[in-house]
Amino acid sequence: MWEALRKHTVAIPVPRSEGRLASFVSQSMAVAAKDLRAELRTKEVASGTFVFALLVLVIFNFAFDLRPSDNRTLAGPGILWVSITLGAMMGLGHVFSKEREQGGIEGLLLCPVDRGAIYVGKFAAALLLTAAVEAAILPLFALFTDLSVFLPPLLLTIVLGTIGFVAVGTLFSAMAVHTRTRELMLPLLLLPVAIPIIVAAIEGTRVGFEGEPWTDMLPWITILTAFDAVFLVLCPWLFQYVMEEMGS
Amino acid sequence: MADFWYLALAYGIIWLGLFGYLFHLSRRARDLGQELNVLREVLATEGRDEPGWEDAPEFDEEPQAVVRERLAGSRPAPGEA
Amino acid sequence: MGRGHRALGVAGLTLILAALVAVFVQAPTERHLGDVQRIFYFHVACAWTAFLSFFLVFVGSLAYLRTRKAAWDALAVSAAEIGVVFTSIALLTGSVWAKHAWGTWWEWEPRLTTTLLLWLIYVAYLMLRSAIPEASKRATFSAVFGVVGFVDVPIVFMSIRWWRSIHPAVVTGKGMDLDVAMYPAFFLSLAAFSLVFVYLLVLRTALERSHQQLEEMKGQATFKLGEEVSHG
Repeated sequence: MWEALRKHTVAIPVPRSEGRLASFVSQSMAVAAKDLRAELRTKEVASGTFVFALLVLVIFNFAFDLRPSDNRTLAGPGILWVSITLGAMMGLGHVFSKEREQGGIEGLLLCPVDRGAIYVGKFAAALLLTAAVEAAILPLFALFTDLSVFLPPLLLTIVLGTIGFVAVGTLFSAMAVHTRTRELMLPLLLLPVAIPIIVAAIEGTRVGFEGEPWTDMLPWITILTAFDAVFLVLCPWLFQYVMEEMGS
Repeated sequence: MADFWYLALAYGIIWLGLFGYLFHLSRRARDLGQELNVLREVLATEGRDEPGWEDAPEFDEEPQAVVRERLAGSRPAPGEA
Repeated sequence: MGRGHRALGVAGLTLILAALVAVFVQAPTERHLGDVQRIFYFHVACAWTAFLSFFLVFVGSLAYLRTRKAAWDALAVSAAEIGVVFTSIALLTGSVWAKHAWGTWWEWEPRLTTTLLLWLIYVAYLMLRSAIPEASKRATFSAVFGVVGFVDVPIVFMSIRWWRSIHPAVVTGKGMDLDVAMYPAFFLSLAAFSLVFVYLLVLRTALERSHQQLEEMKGQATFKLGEEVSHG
């Protein structure tokens, strides 16, 4: 698989002293670090994403009456995940938009960096960003709905779900940014494909809220794991084709 | 008897769908043909002093095939007999 | 695309007529659901053909990414378009069925929901294409989405099925046994729709190829006119 990822590299040969895998990892880290540094400077994407997710949470409070506790366990998981999903999507829209606007794509392409490493780096940065937003949203959700969120089933679902969502989202974001409708394209592409994640995450969360046994979680963990496994392999491979077209 | 209306509706959808799409495709094919004729007109008027536009390939000839034939000598180059 | 294609069309039409006869005259009336059950034959044939179509989108997309030949892209977009048409028909006829069997025009049951999601994925495919003017980029990006979309289908199917089995609805799926007497109508419908599908696919792919060649000629013409202008 590493060979396939390297096939489209316009690269200076890797010095023998660094193993292939090690150099791949260090290249990915470099890409991720660059993105995270840029974000830490302004924090505009993270804060925007967080406020957006918060607004969605608040609006849902007007959509459903969350005072009866039945309503809270019924609607709670859905509200949480819609808020996280929409917020994460906003953030994902920006993974490549900076490069698009400021012309960094050509720079990235000229870099002696493995195409797969660019994907992994972008994915890692987006994952950390989304995780940060989720970490901020969860306590607020617990506050608004008086539901306990620090439960192992819930946390496991969040971790698995976010990984899959961001994996596909990074790939689609790269494409969306290069279409006529830019970031508008991302929800269109991502939401239908990510439905299994959304369904599994909501149901897994519900198992956590209703205090049901772990065995009930099994179908949902299976779906999330299957999704993650498939797309963590497929997306980097497909990304190389997207990169070829990104110069235009 | 109300059953009949459901059946009629369902099959109506199927026919409308299939024939509607077929009609849509034939209209696109016709538009494509028209666009091609317009293109040929434009090129004919533009290149009137240019020899050889009367040797322009026909609509259903593949450009690659035309070039191949010209290279092989079985089709005259523009301007030649 | 001439005589063979036309023969295919005639064969398809003939089979459709034969299937109609089988469905309305030969097939027995279903015990519980009555005559409206006859929607089932063409509805299932439609859904099956739609799925075949989406598989071809996958094949075309993968082949395009590997070979970069525009013909595969033509196949992919044609299959996607036809797939959306057939899925729409399946959704609408499924809705009519739902109204008759369960009293509502829509029910969030596994089959209808999965069909709706498939429809959404391939509509997204078509919308992606229409948002990219450059031919090579359009072909590549939609091929990438075509691969992701199809690989996602089994996962979507599984997740929706489990979603509905955890919370069993009052109404269940089609819940119908396929009696042996129904086989002729069923398989004739399948065959008929498959032929019609192939006919439409060939038609649409040829149209796309012509369109591609037209775009290429436009490009060459522009180049040539540019040359004339510069040489005066």
